[in-house]
Amino acid sequence: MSENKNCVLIGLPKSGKSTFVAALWHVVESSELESSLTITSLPADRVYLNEIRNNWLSCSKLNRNKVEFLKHITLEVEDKDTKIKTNFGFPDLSGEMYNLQFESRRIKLDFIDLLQKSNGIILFVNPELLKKPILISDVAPLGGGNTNVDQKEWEHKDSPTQVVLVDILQMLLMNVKGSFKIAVVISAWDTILNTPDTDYNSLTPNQWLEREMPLLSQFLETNNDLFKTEFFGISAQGGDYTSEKDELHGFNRQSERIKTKFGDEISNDITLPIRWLIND
Amino acid sequence: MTVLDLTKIKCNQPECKVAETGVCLEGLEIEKCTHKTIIDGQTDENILGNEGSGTKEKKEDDNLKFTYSGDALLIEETNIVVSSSLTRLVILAGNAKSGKTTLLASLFQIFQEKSSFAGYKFAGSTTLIGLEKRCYKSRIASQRDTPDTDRTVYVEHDEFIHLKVRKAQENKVDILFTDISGERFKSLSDSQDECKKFGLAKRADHFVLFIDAFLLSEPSAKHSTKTNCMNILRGLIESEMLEKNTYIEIVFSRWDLLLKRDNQDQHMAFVKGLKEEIQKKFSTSHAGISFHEVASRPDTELGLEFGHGIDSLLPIWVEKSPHISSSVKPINYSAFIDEDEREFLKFNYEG
Repeated sequence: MSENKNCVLIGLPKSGKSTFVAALWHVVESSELESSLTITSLPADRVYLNEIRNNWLSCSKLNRNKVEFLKHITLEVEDKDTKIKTNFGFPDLSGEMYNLQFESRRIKLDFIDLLQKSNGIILFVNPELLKKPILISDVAPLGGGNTNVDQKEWEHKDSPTQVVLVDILQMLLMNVKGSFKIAVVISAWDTILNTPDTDYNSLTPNQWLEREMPLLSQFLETNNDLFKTEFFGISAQGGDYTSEKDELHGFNRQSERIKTKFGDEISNDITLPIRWLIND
Repeated sequence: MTVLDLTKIKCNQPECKVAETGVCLEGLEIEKCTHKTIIDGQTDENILGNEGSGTKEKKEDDNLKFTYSGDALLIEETNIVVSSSLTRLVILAGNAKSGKTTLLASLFQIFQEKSSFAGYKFAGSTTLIGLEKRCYKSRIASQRDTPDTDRTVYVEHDEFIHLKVRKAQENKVDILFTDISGERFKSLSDSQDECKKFGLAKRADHFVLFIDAFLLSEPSAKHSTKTNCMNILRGLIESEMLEKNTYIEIVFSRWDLLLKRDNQDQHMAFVKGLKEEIQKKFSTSHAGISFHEVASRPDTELGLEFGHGIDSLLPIWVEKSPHISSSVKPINYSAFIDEDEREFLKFNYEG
């Protein structure tokens, strides 16, 4: 007898959601890793999963999902340690949809329905695409005339990434009841591991979020009465598809090119956020 | 779409202001609230009007649910926050360009840059869009060379900025800041009738009076600046709009510009004299008066930290309230007014 658990993947465009799904599908289907989740039966429709997995295996960039894109995926997974089986469902949604939510202030009713059937969400953040709230006074001393003729008026797209994500979370939390979990996934974690600064590359995902996105970090911490949060740094690609392609292809077991940081520990297990969401 | 005829609705709960604000105390849609009484034998249909009455357009997509605007709140929407949790109402008062909006923008900017501020962490805001708009012209994204803040325009409807903060494992506290134009406060300093209309002050936990330190150090402007600000305070106190237990914070804003002046001793003496005069005139009726030197967006040459002085204000706003706090309940977001309704309400104010 399997328990049903659902989650929603949330993230702005190019935040790593689909690459995560591609690598996850490979790991659970191939059973290449020892202590991990594995599927107990193949899903009936595997066209989409196999397509993005093939892209992932060949180290090719995935096509971006369109706004209306919604691919619902359900995997029957078993925890190799506990032998607990779970029907884990999650939709792969377009990041543009979340931008639209922020701008239009509206949420689709069928998305709310999905959310209300979910036990939690996985929130994706791409450290390479952060829009930061940089002050003019931080880059130029005050004073002097304003000579720039191309001054802009405010638009939604000017908002810092952390503000957009807090706002999206607030909108979503309006529509959920009961206990809820948020797994924060910092994607492209290899870009952090590969920086020469040892203070930076040794940060835990939680510490990284506090340093780079303090508003989001505070919001998650101060609302611990509403939801539980855990932090994961994940490189689903394993490295850069241009400069490190040969090294990535060199892994005989492709699951081993994945890097996952949880606390201070680094592993190849991309299923850690799912296992945390599934377990009570 | 429906048009509310609020004059025909009465709520059985004394504390509910639905007839004045259109917002149900329980956060329910009015037609669903069981506490309402309909006056003059009217039916729900009579009161709520009919589809296509012309004040709202039909939604294009029925599959979409409006959440909340994210912009500054109208007073009708503040009831949702006020009735839901521990809430502080902070009135930011002062003449035009005295730094009221810049302080709000800088406070939000700090929460975006630091992991905490003055012992508090950010816990949410229903006005993130409103805050972002107010921060925008100080950021490089605006493609400006010098930071600026949009002047708050004079409108009949008051606007509010919402911030929720939390200290360690204590209760979260909601703060509602007014964002009211300097022209409105000019009218308070000119007219006792205008003071008597400023009923919002009666509910204030904190009345923050901004006095521009740059103008206090300008020989041709310092006396009129002092007099205008004193008149705002005196007018509200004498018209009994500021309750005796309301905390009053006097903020000497743009303090960095005073520090850049020559003849520092002279300017400091003037400020000291002003503080003493305020204490002498108002401390017998209002014990909770404090003074703060603030440079929300200081000149970097002076080495003052961004948001200088705000760290002394935030703990006062959060921790001190003359009102007994009610139990903490989560915000009922479903009671937010949708975009069309907001425009309708604004139209009514302006019309």
